[in-house]
Amino acid sequence: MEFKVNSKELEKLLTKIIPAVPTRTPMSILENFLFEIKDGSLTINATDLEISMKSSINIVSEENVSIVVPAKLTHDILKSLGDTTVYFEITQNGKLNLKTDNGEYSISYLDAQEFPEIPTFPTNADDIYEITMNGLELKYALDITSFAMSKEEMRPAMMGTYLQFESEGLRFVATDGHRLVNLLKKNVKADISDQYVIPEKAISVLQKILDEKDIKIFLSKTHMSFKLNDIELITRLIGQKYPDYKSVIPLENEFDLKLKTKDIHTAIKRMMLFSSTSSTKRVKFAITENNLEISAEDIDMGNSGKESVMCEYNGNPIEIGFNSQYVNDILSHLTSEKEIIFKLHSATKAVIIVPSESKENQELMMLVMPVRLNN
Amino acid sequence: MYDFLKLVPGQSKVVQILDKIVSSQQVPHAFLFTGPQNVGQHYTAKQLLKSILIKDESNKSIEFKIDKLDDPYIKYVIPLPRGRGETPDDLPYQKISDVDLEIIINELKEKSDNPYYEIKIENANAIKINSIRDIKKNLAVNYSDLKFRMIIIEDAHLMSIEAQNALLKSLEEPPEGIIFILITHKPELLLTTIYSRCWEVQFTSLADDIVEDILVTRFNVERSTASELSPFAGGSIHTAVDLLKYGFEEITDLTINILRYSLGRRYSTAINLMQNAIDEFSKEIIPIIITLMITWFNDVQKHRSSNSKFHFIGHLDTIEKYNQRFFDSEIDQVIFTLQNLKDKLDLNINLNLITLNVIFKIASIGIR
Repeated sequence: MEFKVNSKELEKLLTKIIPAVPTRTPMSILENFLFEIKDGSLTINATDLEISMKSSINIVSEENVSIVVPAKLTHDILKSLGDTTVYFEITQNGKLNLKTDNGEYSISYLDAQEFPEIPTFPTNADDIYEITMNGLELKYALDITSFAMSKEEMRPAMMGTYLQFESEGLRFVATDGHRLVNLLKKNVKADISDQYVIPEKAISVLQKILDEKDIKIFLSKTHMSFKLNDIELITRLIGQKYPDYKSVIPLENEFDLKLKTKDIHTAIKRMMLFSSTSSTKRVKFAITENNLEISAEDIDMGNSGKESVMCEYNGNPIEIGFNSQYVNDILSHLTSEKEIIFKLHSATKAVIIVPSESKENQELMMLVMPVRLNN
Repeated sequence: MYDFLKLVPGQSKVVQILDKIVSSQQVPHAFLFTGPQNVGQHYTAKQLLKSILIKDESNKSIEFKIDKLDDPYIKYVIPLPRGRGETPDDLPYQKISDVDLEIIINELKEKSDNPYYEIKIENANAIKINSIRDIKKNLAVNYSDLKFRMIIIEDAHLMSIEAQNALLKSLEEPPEGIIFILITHKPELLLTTIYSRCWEVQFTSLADDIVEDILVTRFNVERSTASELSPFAGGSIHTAVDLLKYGFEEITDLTINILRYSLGRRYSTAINLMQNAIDEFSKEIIPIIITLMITWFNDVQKHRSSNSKFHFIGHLDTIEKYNQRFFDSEIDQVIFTLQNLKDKLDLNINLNLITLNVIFKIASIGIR
């Protein structure tokens, strides 16, 4: 059978789907796309069995056929062809021939039966909900929270981003036990009592494909589906219960340390040069009225750094240590804020970091645990 | 109900136990399949999952996926080589070289086609902690739409202590619908904490005719060769395949020659024969030769008790000659020592030391 498509159009589509194709897997069949031609539509599927992505374009074809083609090779060929019309021919002897004005390329394909079961959204299950969200807003929420997700499988639930629908809006939480990000999007409201934990892979793919258009999100107990223009991403969810993150958020942090984000961020980056060799990557904050002294020391090599940063502080003088990497990660995600506030209580209590001015329709709170200082 | 477990050959007791478990609908979440190496543990695991998941004959698609060891029905964990610059944080296959990865893919394909096939990957000496971490990650994902999934850990004794400890918690409290199958022929190398968390199912050696059938149907071996070879396999497909690999007739001849020279106290010739065999094949040949020697001595004992069911039919003259010359020799002790030396091979004892001990022990029969 034969059909034709514009190479640029198909390449654009494959580029969006290819992140779902695993690169180093013992199941080599997953390194392929599943092409399904049905009723004048070409649907392309890719999966790593945890997430799946699919997208369709219209073609002129009378037959229905499904084949499995190598993902990277097909994508690379189409990418290198530029903007031209490609004639696809699926032969009976297992070859997919691509013809352009000047060239002819032949790719071996496999039978669609070989392709494993693609995760699909359980449309007939109970408790299915649908919400719509702006793509950029979701991207912002995922960008700002996902860095705090745990990479350790000891607490598997924390290896994802937690979503909870509350009366005030949709809450995104990520934590690895050392730091925590808690973002409330007040303009997304739904009457959903279930909680969802999206695994890291789905989040990293979503971050790549989201744009300013609206995205439809379908939620079930086991899966989540994201429909964006012509692309659908389906992911399995993490099945374990998310820890009670609220219990670690201190309520009595009465001292406010107000800083210019840029000042503290650049200072922390310099201190990291001296703290990166120690295991805790420790940086010391010595806070007195209107002055913050940041210092770090590399004991093994005898190097040290110290800096003063202008601040506004209304509490008792305090000396507190942090992992400079964690503070830097947090500050890197707050660069759009002019000023930030560190809310403190004592040298051993968790510290809350918030922007000094809240953005419209959202509440953002980050938390970092201090490290012990050996004076 | 279509009985998948009944298709497992030569393990009627195991099938009986598992059948009871399946029909009771109270499936333990962790099994330890022990017994001789490769006597059908892997095939039984697959059939067990099929019999739990498929209640009638209609679901060919799940059957096909289980046979193919497809995720998410089966997560198959095997010993893997270490990749270059690999850290415990990497995914198990992430840093493995392209060449190795291709070998692994091919070996897995062979295994999915033939459950009695033994995966052989160079330098794959351990189940990496990365693989255990990968299991934990996999367990975290919500698969509650599938009723049961299985995690098969092949050669479970090759898990390091750290890997075993990392597995403990998952093994004790896996999410609902998870069945762990740990396959090992050396359960003594597992931590007691792992051992005690599993339901042990002991597999037995296969009967000679079953070994013969498996060789013919699964490995395309000629019926005549399979029939000749199967009595020497000790009821294990592992041994049978090794005998095939190294050339059955060649090895039996070699064994007889080593026995002959050892008994005749021509030590250097016997040692040279052993050494040449190691050079030509690999050190894996030593346990095979020792097993054949034990079988030969068993034949000698049978000959003494007028039992006519011999294994070394082609070398009957050697047995008769031996019994004429050394009619009062104590063979039990020799067999015991040989078995002991063979077991010592697993403990990584110097190969030369083992070879010398084997030869001198046999030679001691000739010294009066």
